[in-house]
Amino acid sequence: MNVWWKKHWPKLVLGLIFALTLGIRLYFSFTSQTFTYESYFTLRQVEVIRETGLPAFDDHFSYGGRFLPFPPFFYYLLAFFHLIMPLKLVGQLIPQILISLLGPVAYLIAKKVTNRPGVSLFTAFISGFVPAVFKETVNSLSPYTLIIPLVFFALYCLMRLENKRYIYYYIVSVIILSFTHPVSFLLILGLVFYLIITRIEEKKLDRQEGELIAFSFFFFLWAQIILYKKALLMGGINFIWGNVPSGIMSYYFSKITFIEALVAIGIIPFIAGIFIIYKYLFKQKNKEVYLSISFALGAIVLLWLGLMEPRVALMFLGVVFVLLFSEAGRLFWEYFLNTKFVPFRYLLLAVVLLLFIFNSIYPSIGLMKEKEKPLPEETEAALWMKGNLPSGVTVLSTVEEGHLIAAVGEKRNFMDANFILIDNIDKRFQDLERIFKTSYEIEALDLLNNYGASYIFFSSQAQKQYDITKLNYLGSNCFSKVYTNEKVKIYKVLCGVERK
Amino acid sequence: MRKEKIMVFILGIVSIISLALGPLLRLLKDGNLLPAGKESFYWLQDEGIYGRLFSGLDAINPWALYGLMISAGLVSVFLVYSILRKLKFEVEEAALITGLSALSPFFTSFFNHPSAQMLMILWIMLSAWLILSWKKYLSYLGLALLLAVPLMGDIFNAIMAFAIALIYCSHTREKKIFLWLGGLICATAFSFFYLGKPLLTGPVEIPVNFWQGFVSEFGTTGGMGAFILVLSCIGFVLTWKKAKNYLAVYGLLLFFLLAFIFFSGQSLIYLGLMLMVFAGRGAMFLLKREWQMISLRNLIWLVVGLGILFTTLNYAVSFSVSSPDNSLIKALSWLHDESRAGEVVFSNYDNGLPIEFLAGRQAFIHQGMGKNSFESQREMMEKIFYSSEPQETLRLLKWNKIDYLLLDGQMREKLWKNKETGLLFVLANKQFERVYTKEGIEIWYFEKS
Repeated sequence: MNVWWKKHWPKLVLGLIFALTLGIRLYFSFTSQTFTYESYFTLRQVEVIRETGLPAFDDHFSYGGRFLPFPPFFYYLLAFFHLIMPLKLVGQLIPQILISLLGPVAYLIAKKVTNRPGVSLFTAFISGFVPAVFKETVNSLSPYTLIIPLVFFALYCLMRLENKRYIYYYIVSVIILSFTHPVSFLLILGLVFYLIITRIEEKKLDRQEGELIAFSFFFFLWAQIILYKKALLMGGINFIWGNVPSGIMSYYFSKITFIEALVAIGIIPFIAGIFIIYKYLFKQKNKEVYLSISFALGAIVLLWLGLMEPRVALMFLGVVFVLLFSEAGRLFWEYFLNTKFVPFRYLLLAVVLLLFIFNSIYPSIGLMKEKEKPLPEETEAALWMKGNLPSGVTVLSTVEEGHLIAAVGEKRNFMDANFILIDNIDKRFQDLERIFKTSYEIEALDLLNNYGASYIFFSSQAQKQYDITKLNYLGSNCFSKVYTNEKVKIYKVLCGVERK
Repeated sequence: MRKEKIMVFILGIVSIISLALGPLLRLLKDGNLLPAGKESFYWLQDEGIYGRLFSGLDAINPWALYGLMISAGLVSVFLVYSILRKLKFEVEEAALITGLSALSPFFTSFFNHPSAQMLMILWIMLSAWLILSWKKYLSYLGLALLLAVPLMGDIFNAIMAFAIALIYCSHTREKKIFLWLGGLICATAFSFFYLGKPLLTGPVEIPVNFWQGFVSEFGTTGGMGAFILVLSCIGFVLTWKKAKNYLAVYGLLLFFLLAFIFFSGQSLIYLGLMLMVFAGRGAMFLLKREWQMISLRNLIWLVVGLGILFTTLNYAVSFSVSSPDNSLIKALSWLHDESRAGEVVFSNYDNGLPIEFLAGRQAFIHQGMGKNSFESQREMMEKIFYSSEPQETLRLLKWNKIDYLLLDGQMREKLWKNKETGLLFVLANKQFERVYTKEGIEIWYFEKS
């Protein structure tokens, strides 16, 4: 028993950590009645794939009908599970299982770097509660739930090239990542930085590493050209920056304060990570640590170039710093074992664990609750639209609610968060704001007519966002309320504006 | 030797396919053998020797014009290969550089549109090839041919001629270096300053974003493929170790790159050829490197090969649908039959040169009218398109003596966004009569009285 325990205890504890992480995530997922706003885009794609076998690249609902290219792998994966279980269950379960796999992946990486099961298990535990990741992935059907564990699994494969099967795992990971989300470019950029750092530090690069990095680069480039060929031809290089309206650019790429970054990454991993970066860039050499450092550099560069939203960069940075923490943990533990305080080592472990609960788990849950998602009344109203409004009508709502209108209401939206390839996006965004805020009926009608919008979805989200309590031009007979609940009112536009 | 023959044979086949694919698709799609693009119509209407040659061939048989263009491209391919071999490039590397060039849209596009530059490139390559024969009398003949370049070509041709002469003379320590270079400078000064030839010939260029004009995948018809650019970057890094050997190429690359960014897109052909040297080096590196995982090497080559092939195919498809398509040709032929000589046709500037050539009528704006006139007409065109005052639009049309308005799908897409103002709003006026509408093209007659 003792021998068996000695051999298998890390696996058992890792299983428990995985179960705990997944359990907490599922608790939040199953107790919430709605998903995050962007999840509704995923839900609709999964439904469309299930019905037609193909994603909705020619989207009839988004912006009243448009072409929208995107990498489809994640949606196909969920559609596969949708074959055997209901869509809501797929949404609640599968992404949470995928992101919970980050724990085992972090364990493997930490084990390879530190060769200490205890420290590695600790790393696996805290990787499950990186506040930035927790906030963005709980209750969300985001492709990041697949990308984050897979990117770090690819990283682990690169560390294990002496074993041939990891070469195949790596290749498969790169292929999947290339067809999952463009943010996988971080892997490529991270590897480029890895090449540079190993060259600067005069560390010899493994021949296989070089070959796999070359493959990753060429394959990723090829996949993106295939996926976005039409979009690149239509939108040129500006397509890469996502065509985000300047009005919400400040929201998407808002400058994060140092304190916010600290909270999102976790104070202890942040300090430990900075220490390790300093130590291994200037004092010692370790290729495996360089891989993690390269990823941090890649995320920072993409953030700086405006190619990655801060919330996404923080997710990757959060995981990288946790991985770097493992090495700091090893060094600290080895140092501690040589001090007179050895008898108190379990006490120390308990204190550190407690610190992490306050430093990571507590902020994770706090940040997750801050994440905006539709109220049950909003989904109820959208569901009403599905059965009661004629098909083909365009419904005006806030940008965030756009996917909800399309996915649940099955109606054309005025605007949603997929901005790419939309002409005059700034004007449309400004017009949306004017329609909600103007006091002049004629102006609102003119704009609504111009975009062919015949219904207004006026929710508490719109009230909060535009700082209004009602639409100021509702006095006349040009608008009639067709639906109301506690949080949402839907108005029908009855008049047009004739120009002379 | 046999290996080289096979290589050259394959190179010839690849080049013919690449050069002929676009025109062939165009022919299959529309049965249309008319040259495509504004450059073609500019040069077909040129009153000089080039215009006479191109329009003469086109009049005899459109195949003859395409024959000339494809032959010029093919001869250029062989000349590039031969020049590289004379410069001691290995067979594989020379074949790779030439093959990548032949598959690149910047090269194919150049030899799919009749232009003076196309013939000048051929001339310059022939000169370089003669110079590199390393036989005194042939080298002098080559240098003599270079002396004629500034008199016949544009400023980029003259600079390239000068660079070749300079490299040759300094490499061979030619005693008469000052004679040749001085001769070239004098010829250049005589041509551009005394005779007053414009520095650049061809239609007025519309400035585009650097990446959009440079990389095929970002929207240009005749740019560089993304994969070839990546290979060029690899090659550039590799050659940096032996930077001394590549000084001339670096210098020319930098010059043409700056010229491309700040001056004119016409330098792309030279810039592309310089980059191909590096792309060939990068490709050779991937090919000759000792790979630990052979299957991975094959996979990379498959991906790179497909990437390059897609760029080539993409170019061919874009060329096959480029303006003027059958619907525009039919509309212009109708206009030619139904309108009177001297009447003015208003349309987007893209349609200007085809209107002049195919309908034989005066276009309100076209890219062959000189930069200053073009800019002022363009300003007027925008006013007419987007004026919010209908009376003002009518006044401008009258003032510019417009008789017909030609609207195509692209223009409508751009203008139809706001039906409440501008030209489309004005068309509801009684003074306009829609006289032609077919396959997305509309022609409106404007009654000025």
